[in-house]
Amino acid sequence: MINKIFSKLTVRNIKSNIKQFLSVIVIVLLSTMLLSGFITNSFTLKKSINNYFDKTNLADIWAYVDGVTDDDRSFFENNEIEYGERLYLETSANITSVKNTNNAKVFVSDGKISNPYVTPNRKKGCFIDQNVVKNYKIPINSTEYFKFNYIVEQEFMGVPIELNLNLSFEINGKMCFDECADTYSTWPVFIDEETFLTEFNYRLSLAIEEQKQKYASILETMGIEINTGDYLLESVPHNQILVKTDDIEKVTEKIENYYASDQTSSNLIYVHDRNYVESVVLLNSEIDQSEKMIYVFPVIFLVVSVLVILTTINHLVLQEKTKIGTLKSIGIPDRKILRHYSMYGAWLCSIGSIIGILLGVLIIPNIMFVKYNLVYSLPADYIHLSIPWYIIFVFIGVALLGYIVSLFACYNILHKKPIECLRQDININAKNFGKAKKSKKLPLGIKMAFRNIRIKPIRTIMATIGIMGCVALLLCGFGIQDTIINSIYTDLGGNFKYDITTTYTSEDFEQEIIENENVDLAFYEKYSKFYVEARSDKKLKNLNLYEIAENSRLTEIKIGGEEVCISKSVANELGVKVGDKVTVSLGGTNVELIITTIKQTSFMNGIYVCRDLGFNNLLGTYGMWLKCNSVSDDTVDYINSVNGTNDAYTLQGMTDLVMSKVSSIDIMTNTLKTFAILLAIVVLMNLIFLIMKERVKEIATLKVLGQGIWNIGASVFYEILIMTLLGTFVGMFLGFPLLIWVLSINKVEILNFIYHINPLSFVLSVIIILATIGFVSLFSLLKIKKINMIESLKSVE
Amino acid sequence: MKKEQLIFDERYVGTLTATGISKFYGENNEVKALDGLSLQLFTGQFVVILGASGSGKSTLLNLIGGMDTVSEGSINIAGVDITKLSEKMYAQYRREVVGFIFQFYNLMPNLTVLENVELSELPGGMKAEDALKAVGLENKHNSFPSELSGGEQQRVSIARAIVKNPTVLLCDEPTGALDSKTGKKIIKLLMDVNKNKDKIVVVVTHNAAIAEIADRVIKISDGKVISDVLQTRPKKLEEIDL
Repeated sequence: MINKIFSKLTVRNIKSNIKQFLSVIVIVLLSTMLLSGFITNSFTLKKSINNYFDKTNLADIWAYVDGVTDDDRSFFENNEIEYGERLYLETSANITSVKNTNNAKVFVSDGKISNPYVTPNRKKGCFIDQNVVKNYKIPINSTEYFKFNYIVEQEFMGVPIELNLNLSFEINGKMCFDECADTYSTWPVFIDEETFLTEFNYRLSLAIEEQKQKYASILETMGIEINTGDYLLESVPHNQILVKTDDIEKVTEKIENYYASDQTSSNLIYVHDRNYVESVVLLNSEIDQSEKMIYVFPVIFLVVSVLVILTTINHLVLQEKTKIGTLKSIGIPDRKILRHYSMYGAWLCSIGSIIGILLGVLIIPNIMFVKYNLVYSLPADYIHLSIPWYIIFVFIGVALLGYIVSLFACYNILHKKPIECLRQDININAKNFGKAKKSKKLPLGIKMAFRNIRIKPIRTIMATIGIMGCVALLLCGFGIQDTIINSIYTDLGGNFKYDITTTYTSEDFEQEIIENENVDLAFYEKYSKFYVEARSDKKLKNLNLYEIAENSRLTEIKIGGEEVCISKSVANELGVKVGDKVTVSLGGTNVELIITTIKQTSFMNGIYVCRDLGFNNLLGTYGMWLKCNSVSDDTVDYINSVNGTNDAYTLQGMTDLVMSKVSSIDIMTNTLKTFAILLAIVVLMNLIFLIMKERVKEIATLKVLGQGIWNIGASVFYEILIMTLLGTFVGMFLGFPLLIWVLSINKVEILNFIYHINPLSFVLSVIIILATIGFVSLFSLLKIKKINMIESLKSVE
Repeated sequence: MKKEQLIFDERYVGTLTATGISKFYGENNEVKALDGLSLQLFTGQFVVILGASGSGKSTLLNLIGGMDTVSEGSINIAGVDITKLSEKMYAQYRREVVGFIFQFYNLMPNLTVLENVELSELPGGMKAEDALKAVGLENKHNSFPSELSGGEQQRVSIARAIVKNPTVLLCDEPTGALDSKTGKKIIKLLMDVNKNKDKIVVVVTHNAAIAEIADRVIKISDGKVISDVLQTRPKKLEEIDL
């Protein structure tokens, strides 16, 4: 019977407190939406990426060699190592309908390990990355051809000659390739061995026939008969070995030892595992980030939720004080009453969390996957929304949290004696107001606001913390954008002042640029970049080593002779300071460097020297920084069209490129700001509902006394404003630490964050919060207008 | 835009006329709190409205005070039909014309005694300090309501009502929450307030003893006036027992 009555009480209390309860539901909904959304996103991403890697049979080890020999094959077979082979080429290429040539990464594979995901599903043919197909609107299986030159050295009548083969392949499908999922400017192309060999041998035979015709008279005189078929290839000249293994370290060591033996010492160029494949590293770091996201924002929202639940239930219990006293006085056990009131929190949290989980798993992963698909070339078929079974724990956890918080909120009052509960609190203890001052300067509304704040310290603290969280979140959102911009401009335009940057592969490139009229060149500097292993006494790190010009005019890194400059972030990671030694290694060459300068960099992180350290030329990337008298898009287009160029960018173009690579963070900042505003609205609305409930009699009295709606609204507004200003003030100080915390969790490989919040961001955050107060206060005016004077003044309570 | 203003006709100042006022409640107006009630009140009168609980006396007070609107009929004060006022004008009417005194005082707990009275101060009118002096609370300016006795709180309530020098002073069970001695003091105050005979003082009560000192006693039952008596020789306050 008691339970039945309690059920009725619950329904009636929900009806009479529906707006406050809705606030709790909304805030819990937002928290669980973020929590379950990020959990599902992380789970889906991890599952999808791992599924992708499994389906494409992604290699674990890559060995770059001059050419794969039968001895090499025997080694792998004898050691029972699962391996595959392929030819990897970086070349200039074009597509029939595309005007410019572009850089392409061409993979000719035996199809055993590291295969692309092809649409439509087929194994033989020439396949090109789906983003290239999409960007250039390339029709599949039509007249579109992928073309590139392949230079073969052949001995012709004992004389070595170079044959330039113009290979041309019909494009048979679009693909996603996990080794090139992050490729923007180069075209990843995959060709099966049979297709490649057919085209290769056809072009080779034509070239040989041409040579035969060219030297026909000599051949005839000498009586030499050349059989074209003797020159044709029986197999593709592989230069990569791909290995699948569970024990990467052990197998890598075996491979290195094998190639270090006398017979094959010159054959191995480099061996590495998945941790050195940028695309794989980036995809894995996305998984890491998605996991870390779970602990950042949902936690903040849950903390605010706890405060809102605490305030609301506490208010409900105080409002129900006499009812509780009556229930106690008629002998209903405390535990039953406690359970009844605690269940409100559990119910509200359950409702909020169910809706939040449903919205979260449906909305957030889809938003995040829009981002992933923008940034990476991923197969749509492999990305299926996967909801982890343990999402149920979010529901259980949040409901339990609601129950415990409610228990805490009503514990005090429920442990009072029945008579204490039944005693009316008509008069608030005047001591709480402090001593009344005779000052007439302050309007009555402000005085009332201050006194209300004083007598409701817990509510004030809760509201202040809520607002503080909103401001900190907003500042953090703005700060992330400011930090990214600040970080990028620290290098691009700050440390580096070139007009155009480009990398190149051809030795003729430099001369061609200097001499060409299309480039209005003032001066230029060359640089080399090597990906090296750097060791200090304490740590080891793989990083970029730049060989730049002495006393560079295009960078702020002024070094000469033996001087070595290291990026601040790298120095921190290696634990080194000026004067310390760092050993850099690449391709068996070790060089010891002594740090002379530490420089704050963001994008171009690494070690800078201004001398040739003697690394193998094949292992480096070569580039030029150009200072021009005038720069236009045409200049860049021209440089890009020069044979042997890789990517040329203006300073702004490079800035845009880096921005686009970190564009995923935009989603985070926008989500942050949106949720911060929503949070502010919920917190302030809840506060308004509480104030209105508490002060309904006062407001009704003011109405009876003929005070206008605006006057009455002002007294409520002042109260909210004071709490908001207090929260905003504290939130301002918390914004920066929160920014550092959030970005330290969401580190990106490409950019070293130099934390910064613009003064304008502070102003904007305050304006947004004040605008939210304005909006919520307007709502309070409607509530005041609706207050019925007679009804509100009828009862004592 | 022309600002709305409440303008009284000088010729009718001092007269309150309720004509056929009704107040219905409920979804289908099934509850009749007032049923076509008519009466006329004049300044200088100390009027007591008597009636049992649910008779409609408080509803009448609320309608006269502009706290609620009539379902039918009109209430005319100094030539102005207040039933036709906008919400904004109603607020002005309550602020400038009507003084309210409630059974449970309805003071603002977070304002001092002086500040509570200042809430009703009108520009150029009586000062809050003077109103408090008139009710004998000149030494309690900086006290909060919770520091006062019930009688003192009601006196603050009276000061708050009289500081605006209202044309109509409406008192809803002003002694209902007070003991007999304090109640008498409050009635004395209310009578003193009207010593200049420039106000209509209406006291709603179910306490018949108060009626004995009134100039006029109106009895209400089921939303209708059942008797309206002018007492030519009302008793003195000392003669009654509240």
